[in-house]
Amino acid sequence: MISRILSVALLAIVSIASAQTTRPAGPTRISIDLNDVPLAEAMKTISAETGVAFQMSTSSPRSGAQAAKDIRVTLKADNQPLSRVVADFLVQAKCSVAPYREYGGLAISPGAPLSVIPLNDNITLLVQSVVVEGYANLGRGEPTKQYNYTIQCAAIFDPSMRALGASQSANITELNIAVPRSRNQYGSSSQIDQVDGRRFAVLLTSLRFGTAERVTNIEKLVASWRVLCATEDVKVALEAADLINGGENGDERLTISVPPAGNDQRNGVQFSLRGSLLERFKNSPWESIWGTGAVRIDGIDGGPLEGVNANPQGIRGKDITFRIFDNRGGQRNLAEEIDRIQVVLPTKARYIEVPIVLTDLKMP
Amino acid sequence: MKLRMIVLCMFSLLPALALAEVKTEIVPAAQLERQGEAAQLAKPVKLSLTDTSPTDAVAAFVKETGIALTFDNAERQASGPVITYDVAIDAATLDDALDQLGQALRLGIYRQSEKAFRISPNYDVGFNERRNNFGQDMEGGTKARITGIRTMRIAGQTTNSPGQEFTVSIVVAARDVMLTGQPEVKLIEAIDEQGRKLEQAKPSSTMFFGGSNLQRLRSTLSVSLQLSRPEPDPAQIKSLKGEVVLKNVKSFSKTTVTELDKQVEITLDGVKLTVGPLAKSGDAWRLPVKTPPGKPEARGNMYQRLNFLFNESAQATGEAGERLRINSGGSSSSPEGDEMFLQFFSDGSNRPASTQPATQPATRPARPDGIKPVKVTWSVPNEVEVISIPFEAANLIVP
Repeated sequence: MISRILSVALLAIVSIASAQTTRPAGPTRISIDLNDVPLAEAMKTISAETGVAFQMSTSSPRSGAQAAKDIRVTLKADNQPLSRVVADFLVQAKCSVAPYREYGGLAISPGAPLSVIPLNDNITLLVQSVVVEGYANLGRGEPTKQYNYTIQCAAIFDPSMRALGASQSANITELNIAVPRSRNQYGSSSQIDQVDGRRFAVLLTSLRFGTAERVTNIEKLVASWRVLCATEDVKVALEAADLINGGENGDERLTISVPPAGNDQRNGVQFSLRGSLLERFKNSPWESIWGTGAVRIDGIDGGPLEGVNANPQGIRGKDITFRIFDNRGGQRNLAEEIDRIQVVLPTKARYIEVPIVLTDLKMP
Repeated sequence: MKLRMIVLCMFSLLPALALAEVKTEIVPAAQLERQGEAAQLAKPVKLSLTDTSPTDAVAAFVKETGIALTFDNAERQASGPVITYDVAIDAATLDDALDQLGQALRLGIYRQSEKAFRISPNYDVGFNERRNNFGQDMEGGTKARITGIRTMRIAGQTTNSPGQEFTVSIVVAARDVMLTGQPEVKLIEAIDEQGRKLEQAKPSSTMFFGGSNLQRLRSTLSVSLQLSRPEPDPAQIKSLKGEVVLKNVKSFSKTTVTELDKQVEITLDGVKLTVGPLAKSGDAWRLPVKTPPGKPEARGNMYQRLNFLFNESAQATGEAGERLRINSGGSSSSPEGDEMFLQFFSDGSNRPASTQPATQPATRPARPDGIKPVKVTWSVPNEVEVISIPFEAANLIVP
């Protein structure tokens, strides 16, 4: 028996067709009970319960497909933070994770994380690998050695964080190891990938430092990680009667509209977006923005309508038309099932500093 | 011991075509010109902005300093939510100011030319002078020296290679070598402290020049040697011997085409090419260059590196005698041959409109498009020598 409790709204609290600054709320809480189910089935269940898209990584399709059949998952959670449930699932599934960029979700691949560190109720960190590059400097003068350590991490975010991107590495502020840290900084990078309106359930970062001698254990590491979160959104939505009779909502920045519903809804329901804000998102991957929090389609029970996708049918200047369809190819009368279509685009964002603390971590 | 062998590229000794608008001559490699290093500007800069976007901050900086500072991907800055920053700059020199700007925006900046800079999240944060090792100590003639050994160890899931080799870094000093092709590192013998023989694991790779086909070596050249790593790890390489093999261009065949309004045939690197006629397309002048029909392998090196037509080996001159930059204006391939269009821009603003700076100082003149080239010159290797540079070392520590 699976039940779901959403303790907060998945999306930020902003009024329809308005923009306002909000603080992160959360966490989203999940209850789940999986008993020895195949990985593929577990992924579907977790995805349905959390609203986060999952897929096996395509970087190693053969091992991924085999893992989906072979690995079995047992997982129990009672009203736990979403990020922690997802992290526990990955540990159980012996899988690592990377952003599933097309849908803002999670791409998983075989390879158990080395450790799991809940940073707070909204973010859980997985240490996924450690790479040690050793270098002997044999140039002029006495030979010297340098070891550069890269600890690769993935962080699972609660949707309320509205995470748009993050720096590729975190800034280490404290490091307790048996040998001195190298004077030669092996520092942090603040680069982030493209910010295009998609929100991410997982982002990667690395912790990097250098030493003059090899280290086998980290007693304690403290770091600060820059994560970019939306601080202001524009949200537009249409509900119930407007979806049947046709209607529109919004302002000059962003307007959503639907034509009157026809008799035949087998080809799905259409809605369109227009407005000056779309100019800033003209390079966004609209074909895969579904599932990222930017477009949400609710059923009459108030929750996300299952088994539907919204794909762009045409982009003409500042107008984009989407078709909502049954992604299982069924013949559903979606006009009757859909109670609300909502589009949220971030208009302002700001970096937050996320503290990371690792203790007693073995080095290869 | 140094082994030198002269290889003459007979195909490039073909006589100049008997056309008035095509002239071919043989010139020593040392005569090829290079652009000088950019001079450093010194100017105090003060700027204070709060809750500002990177685009606005860069525009204010450009207005204050008069330099050209260009986003590598300006479109990206104009998309998505506006990320805001507080920027405070108080610097005695432009270099310091650029560094402070880069740090404030968490972006990297590098110098494109004396007064033109580029900014992007893809560089190290702050102001990075374009790193090169020109000017390093080149005394002592041609030699190779082992400078380091690199290893990699991995725990957990990663896309990196398993790290079953270690890499020996070698620096080659060879003054005034005009390098063509890929340097090669050959292992003669490697023995570890346990008496085990280490094998060459992979073909050698060049770390400095990458895919460049032709480069004046005024500095050291970094190459590497991959060795297999036996279990357990060796602590030392007791003895290591090998050689680095370079190809040095002694002279070039320089082909100059004038009267570009006509279609002419030239031979570059053994391949006949049809050049011209020059035509105007929009704001830019375009010059078509066609390879002959036939299978790609029959078209010689030109097919492999059509970029050669507009890289450092190509020079164009405008009507007023000014030097023009040449860019690719597109290419196509078919059984009838390959065709590449060359586009001409004034030196310093050579990029097409799509990559023009988003922000420019108000005093900067408009981009002088439409400058007509009157002469194009290509220089291709003529006489090539093979240089073998030995290296040898003992008791090397393995990290």
